[in-house]
Amino acid sequence: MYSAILLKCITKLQNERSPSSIYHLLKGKRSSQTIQDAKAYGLSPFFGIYKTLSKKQFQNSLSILQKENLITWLDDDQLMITEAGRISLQTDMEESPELDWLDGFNVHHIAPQFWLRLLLWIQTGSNLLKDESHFIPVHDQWESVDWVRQFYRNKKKDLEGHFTNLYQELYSLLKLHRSFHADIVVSRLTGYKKIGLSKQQIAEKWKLPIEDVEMYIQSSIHFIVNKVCQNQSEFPALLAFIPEKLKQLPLTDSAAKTYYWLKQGYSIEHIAKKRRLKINTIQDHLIEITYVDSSFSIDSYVAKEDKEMINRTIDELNTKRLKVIKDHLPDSVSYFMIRMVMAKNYQ
Amino acid sequence: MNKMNQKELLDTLQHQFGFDEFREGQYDIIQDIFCGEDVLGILPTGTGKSLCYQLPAFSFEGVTVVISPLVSLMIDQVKKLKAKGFKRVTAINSLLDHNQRDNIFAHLNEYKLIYCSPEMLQNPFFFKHLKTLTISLFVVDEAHCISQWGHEFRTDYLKLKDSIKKLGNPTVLALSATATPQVQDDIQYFLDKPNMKKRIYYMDRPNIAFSIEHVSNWQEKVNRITDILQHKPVPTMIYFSSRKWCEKVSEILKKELGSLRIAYYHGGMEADDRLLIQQQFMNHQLDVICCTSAFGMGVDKQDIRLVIHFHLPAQMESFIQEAGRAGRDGKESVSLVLYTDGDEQIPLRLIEQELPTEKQTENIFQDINKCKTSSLPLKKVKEELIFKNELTETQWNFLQYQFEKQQMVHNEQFHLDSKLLEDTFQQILFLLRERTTIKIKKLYEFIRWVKTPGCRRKDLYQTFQKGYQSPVYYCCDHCDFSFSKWNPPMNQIEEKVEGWEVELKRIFHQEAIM
Ligand SMILES: Nc1ncnc2c1ncn2[C@@H]1O[C@H](COP(=O)(O)OP(=O)(O)OP(=O)(O)O)[C@@H](O)[C@H]1O
Ligand SMILES: [Mg+2]
Ligand SMILES: [Zn+2]
Repeated sequence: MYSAILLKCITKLQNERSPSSIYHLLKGKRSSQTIQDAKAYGLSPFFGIYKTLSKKQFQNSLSILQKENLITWLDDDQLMITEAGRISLQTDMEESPELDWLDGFNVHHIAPQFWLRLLLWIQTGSNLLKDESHFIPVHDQWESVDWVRQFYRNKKKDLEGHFTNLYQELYSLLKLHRSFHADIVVSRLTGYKKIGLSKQQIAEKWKLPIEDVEMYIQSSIHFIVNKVCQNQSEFPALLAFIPEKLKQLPLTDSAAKTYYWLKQGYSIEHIAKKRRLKINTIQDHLIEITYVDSSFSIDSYVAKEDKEMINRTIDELNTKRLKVIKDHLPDSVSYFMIRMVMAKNYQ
Repeated sequence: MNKMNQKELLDTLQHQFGFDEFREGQYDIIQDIFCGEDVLGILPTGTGKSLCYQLPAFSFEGVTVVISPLVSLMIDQVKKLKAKGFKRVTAINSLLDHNQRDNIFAHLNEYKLIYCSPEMLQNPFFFKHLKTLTISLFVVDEAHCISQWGHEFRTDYLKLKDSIKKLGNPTVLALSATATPQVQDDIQYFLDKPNMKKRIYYMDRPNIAFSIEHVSNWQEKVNRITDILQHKPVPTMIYFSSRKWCEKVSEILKKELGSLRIAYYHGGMEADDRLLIQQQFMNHQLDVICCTSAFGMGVDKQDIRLVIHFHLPAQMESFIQEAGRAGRDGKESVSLVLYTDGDEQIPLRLIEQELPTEKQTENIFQDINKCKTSSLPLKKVKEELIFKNELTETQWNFLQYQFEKQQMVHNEQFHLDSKLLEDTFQQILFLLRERTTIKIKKLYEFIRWVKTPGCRRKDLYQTFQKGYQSPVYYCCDHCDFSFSKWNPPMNQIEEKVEGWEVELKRIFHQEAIM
């Protein structure tokens, strides 16, 4: 599954972007460049789906793909998919519906939190229902621990009833997984006298690369989060685990601050001065905002004629490479303007 | 402070900790502490040293500070205490992010028991907060780390003496499981507590039999393990000296011993996964664990029957600690060392890596020398020196401590006087050679033990204490032990293969609802 994701990224980037941009994409780097890559090349489902990926691991997987002749290197540090790669990707896409479950751009910022809460709560409830209060939590991420403590206070009156509901909701969603996929997800859960498996163990047990294990778990989390959010009345128990943040735009904290001041009517220059940031940084924020908020208008930053001219050039050249586009435009059109227009197009 | 009467103490033990009675040494040490005496406590591994400060900590008005060398150990202790219902404990460690740390610092006065690393104690910001509190008890856990002769040596332990004074001289409790008389002297010397009361207990474990087998290569080691575990599928730990070996042999054993549940554990794994593996082992979901020395400290499984050393440990002390994981429940257990000629090469290489090499040290001094200014902020060059010379954190800490001690670094500033530099350089070279010699000597002590013709038990403990208790099951392979005679209680393996639906039901206790 992971290699299919890499192949898909390589295909879509049409060797216009370097391999490290794929790495940043999977890690979910909050830079306007990465966000632009995700949107402009249609890779937003993969944004931030592999936050623990290391550079070494990433490079390693590229060499494996190369060894299997699924990709080749072009001379200028660019990757290209081979015919064999195309076929492999085709088969994987047909065989793995889970690929379509990934929805990184929209849920990457809440998926981890949702999952940590759920894991810890299942362990807590499962133990408490057996009157076992001496157990060592599966993780000690502060926010979730706090949250679970609070949650317990609300649920302790009818823990059993709540647990039955939670079970039923989870069961019905897991039922929509392929059975080995549900096996993997459930094997990861910790409960009373049952400790979950590590990713390494799952990889060995199902004979998968460890990266695939991560991707299967992520796809399941994204699937569950989206189903729950789209059918809130059907999944009241699970809905409680969705962090508030989902309702906010998926912006970095810094971009969100810039947006706040923009809405108060401040100019880019003024905000830069106020926040002691470079103008460039604030412009990056604006691009980030344009990508995530479709109601955001770019008219005050790019004049109508300029916008049309930029779009025409992009169409003619049929590329997303900024440098190439810029070279074909008059000097009065800045990179910032081109990026804003592109952001608007791919909102 | 007042002596508590025996009844009161026993009550506290039973009600707050849920234990029926004190184990050997605990009562006496706790009583000393309540009398305000500084104590050096040497008790065997796994007998409950922590209780000696935990019980007083929750009875004292003031705060108890515990210095512990390993983050994982601290976190483990805190989790266990919290699981028992003690909420006012915390571990200040490097894994906390800024917010979490600030949060803890702001509420420091709400804790009764604070664990921290010796490095953290040197953090001026933390120490400033700590000084505002009343410290009733200052505990130095794994106190052998203070001595060059201890099996681990941490330079920041040497700074504790001053910190204790600055904290208003609270009662001091130093704890260790493996400290020779020489190390005990060092502990008193470096803590500047010549009048410490010594509570030294027998550290031998009468329910563990010792066995050493000499084989000709590593494949034979694997065959031997397979053979033993096939006939005696007991909860087992196998120690390796590197991550790679640990994974490799675990792989092979999994193939050879299909019916056993085997996993590996080492410091290179993600923290969450490490915790899962450890918990599975505790919860009888795993039979065999292949591990490096990263596993063990803080692992408190009662029914480990067999501890195998696939590689040589660095010295007697680490061996005693690791083998001592076996048989905490008092039932019959075995320690097995598998030895091949030439095995000493691996620990010798590890010894080299513990401290900076002479070459690295020389290069660093050259780098520093190149900065032609007379004074230079430490912060400015630290990262680069570490990076350029590929130093580990321990290696750098050693150097920095020496810089500070020789006044080459003062108030976070380098003072680049050429005479001072030369002196410091020579001093460091001297220390490096000394430490290396000590370590090599200790390794050969262990190898000597491996080759001893006499009783292993007698030989093993004689550097630590006079005499030993008589074994309750078998003694050693030179006296009476062989695997064919051994009849340990066996594992009941009941691994059912069930799909997720059954498992999910079980986790949510929905079995009744079909
Ligand atoms: N009085 C007691 N009765 C029963 N169990 C006890 C008692 N005191 C401690 N224990 C248990 O013994 C186990 C080992 O305790 P602890 O971790 O303090 O050992 P230790 O001496 O510090 O070992 P190590 O050398 O590994 O650091 C713990 O599970 C603890 O709960
Ligand atoms: Mg201890
Ligand atoms: Zn003997």
